[in-house]
Amino acid sequence: MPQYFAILGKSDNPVYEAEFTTQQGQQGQLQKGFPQHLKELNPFIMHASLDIIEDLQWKLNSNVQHGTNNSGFGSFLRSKNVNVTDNCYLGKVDHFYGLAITAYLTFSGMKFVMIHGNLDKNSTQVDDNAVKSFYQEVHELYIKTLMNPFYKINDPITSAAFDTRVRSLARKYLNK
Amino acid sequence: MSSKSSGSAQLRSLKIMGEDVWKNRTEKVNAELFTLTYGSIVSQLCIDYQRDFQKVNKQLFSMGYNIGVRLIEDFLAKTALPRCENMVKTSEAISKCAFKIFLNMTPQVTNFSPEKDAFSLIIDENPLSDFVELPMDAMKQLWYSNILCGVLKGALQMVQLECDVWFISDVLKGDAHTELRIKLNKVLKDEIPIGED
Amino acid sequence: MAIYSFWIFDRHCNCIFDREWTLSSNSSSGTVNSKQNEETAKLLYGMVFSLRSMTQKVSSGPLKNEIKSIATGKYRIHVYCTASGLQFVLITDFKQQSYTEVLQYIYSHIYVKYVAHNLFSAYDFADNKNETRGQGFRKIANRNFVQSLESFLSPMIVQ
Repeated sequence: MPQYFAILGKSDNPVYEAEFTTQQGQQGQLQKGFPQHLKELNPFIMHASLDIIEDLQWKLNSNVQHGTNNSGFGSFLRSKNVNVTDNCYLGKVDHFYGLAITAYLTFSGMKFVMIHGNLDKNSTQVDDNAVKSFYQEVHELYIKTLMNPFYKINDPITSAAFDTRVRSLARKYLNK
Repeated sequence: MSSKSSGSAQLRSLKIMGEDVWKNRTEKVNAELFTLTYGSIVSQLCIDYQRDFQKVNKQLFSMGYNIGVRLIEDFLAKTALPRCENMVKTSEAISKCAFKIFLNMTPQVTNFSPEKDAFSLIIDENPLSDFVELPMDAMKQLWYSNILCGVLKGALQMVQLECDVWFISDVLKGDAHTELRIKLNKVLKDEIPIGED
Repeated sequence: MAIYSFWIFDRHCNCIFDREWTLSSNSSSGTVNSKQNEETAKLLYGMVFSLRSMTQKVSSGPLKNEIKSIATGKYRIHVYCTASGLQFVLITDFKQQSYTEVLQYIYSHIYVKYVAHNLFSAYDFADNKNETRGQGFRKIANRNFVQSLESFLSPMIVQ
């Protein structure tokens, strides 16, 4: 199941993008990514889902009760009892002809978006827990990148170390 | 025999003194705040000097010099150490007391020259450069922690040791370890009042 | 116990601060950095310097020997030297044997705090070549320094 992952800034500017492919090593087959005609569509699909993400980002949750968890998607009105990054994961926000799109918001408004492809042409199932853990670890890597004094916010992330680590996280969480 | 055992006893007491002063008599500040402040100084200098990294290195060195001439008073007030007789003692005082008190790290002292007037400090975990990745053009020329060289030069100057301090290698540049070299040029003579000479 | 005066000398043999208390009953009496004390400063420094160099030549062994106090018939002089060449001198009467802790406190909490750590004050009070070897005229004029010195030493003056 290939994935297309990107980090987008507040003006929809891409900061990082990567395609993760599955490996079918036993039969000696090559890595299978998205089919060629879909590859070009990936950025468009991603940007199309941004509207929905921003909708969720700024929606105010009117059912907030004092002391209850604000889980699930939506607002940033978090209670203090929740683990800090629990509310960042928005889950599956959109779909496009069988591809699923998940998203994750950081605290400063950076969007981590991923398109989940499927080789079997069925509708894609998204393993929420694995994807959420993946997003949380990429979030930590992103924070470490921000700590670099030479990195200006919204700059493209060109560090090879970041790239390697994100890919190894993808192998760990997304290709079970 | 007796000088050797008193030498190692002195080393241990320097180490104990450094740790004691660090634990009890220094005010602590958040390490990430310190790292981020230093990082913003260096990156702002790079912008201000328009990526002329030789000028940035020089400016970091002179900033460090101004810090060092004052920091030595703080160091002497906390440890009340007298002047060291030779560079071996100086190297131990720098690595076990000074670095411990101010940065909570103990660099290794190695590579003494045959005349015992130059030595290297190997820094394994540099708190100034946590999370830092140098951009490609800076990697060839910028010594990120050059402020440390200035601090050491200024501080040693105030105890009458005129030294050259410079970086030999830096992990940020891709080398195996971070190494700083200190070489004694001459011992300055104390001034005597007019009428005594 | 009574303190008569307090002096600071730097490594260029200059007196960079002096405070003299003229009336032992009034802790705010006396002079700060007055010009009349310049001759006294030079004589005092000369005496301390000669005795220090003699003791260091006479003493044997690796550890440096520093003088701590000099007693005359009417007063006692206490000296605290740092490795950076600063000398803190206190002239007192005979009631107390050692003022080392007092001088150490003045160094670490008053001098270091208000002069060394203050980036707007000089760290080297000889600003040009003419001011070395005892010919200097630059003094510590830092208000915070003087005030905290006064508040620290005033309780010790009156008695």
